[in-house]
Amino acid sequence: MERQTQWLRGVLDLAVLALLAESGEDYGYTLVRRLDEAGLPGMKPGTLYPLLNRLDSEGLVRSEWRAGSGGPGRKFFLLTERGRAVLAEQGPLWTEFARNATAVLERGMSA
Amino acid sequence: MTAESSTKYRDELVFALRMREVPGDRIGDVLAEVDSYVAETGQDPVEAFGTPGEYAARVAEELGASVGYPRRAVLRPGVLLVAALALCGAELLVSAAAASEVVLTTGGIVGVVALLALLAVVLLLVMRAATETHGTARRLWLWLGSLAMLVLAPFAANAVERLVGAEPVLLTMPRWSALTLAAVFLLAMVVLLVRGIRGNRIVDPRPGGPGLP
Repeated sequence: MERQTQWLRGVLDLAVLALLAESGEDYGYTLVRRLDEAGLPGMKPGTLYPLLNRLDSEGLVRSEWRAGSGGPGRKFFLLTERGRAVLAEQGPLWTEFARNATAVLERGMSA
Repeated sequence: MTAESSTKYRDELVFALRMREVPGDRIGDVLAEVDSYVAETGQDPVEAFGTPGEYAARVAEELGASVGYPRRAVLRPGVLLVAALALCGAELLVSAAAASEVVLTTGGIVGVVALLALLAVVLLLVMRAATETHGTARRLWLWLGSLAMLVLAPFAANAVERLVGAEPVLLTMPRWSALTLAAVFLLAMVVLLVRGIRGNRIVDPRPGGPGLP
């Protein structure tokens, strides 16, 4: 699990942007759950929230607090146009990198 | 998780974030995020976010160069000025209460500067101890070091003062003017302190939120 968490950290910002591109907006707890359901487990909110706030300060996402029904408010994160552009630019680079890494591993394993 | 442990976590987190000079509005945001997540999941805050010291370090890291390392909080000019005003005001007040006139010597000034420097070292050690995340033993040694330094600081400053000597006399002040000067110093210290606290208040960002400490 420790190693998977390390891998995830390398792509977490792009994964979050991709999840927000799918849903338009989301908040911390469901983002952790969606990462888990997508087969990227082990993400702690203590890592995710600082990252989300960095993306916010870089203008890749926008955040707003909304009143909760009966409970505490929730902080929603929304993808901005700039965030969408970064995902479009960096996403293909990551997929190519991951494909190359996979090819190296597969060659090694079948050797 | 109990309400008591949640409050304790929040208090320690506020302290650790303050030590890293995270701005008050950002601290309000961080506390609301922790509250919201813990209320939604029922998870223990340490399990979800790490210890207050660890989480504060991560928050500060993500904020980048705009926030400082714990020790910088002590060495800011504003903090040193408040400490200098408090020290000089108290020194003048005590001297004026004990004698009809206050004599200002080179040794006296050097002694006050030495005490200020030693107290800054005590504060640095306290901050290191409060934000130490790598082990209980190290934290304990830092606390003991702070305590020892705090006890020894007045004696060391006194020794420095005596070493420099009581001559030459720079200024002799009657009691009333020493008391007036002490009042000015202490008032300026209070004003600076209040301005510093007011300008960096923790604000709850949630609409209709319950409010934060």
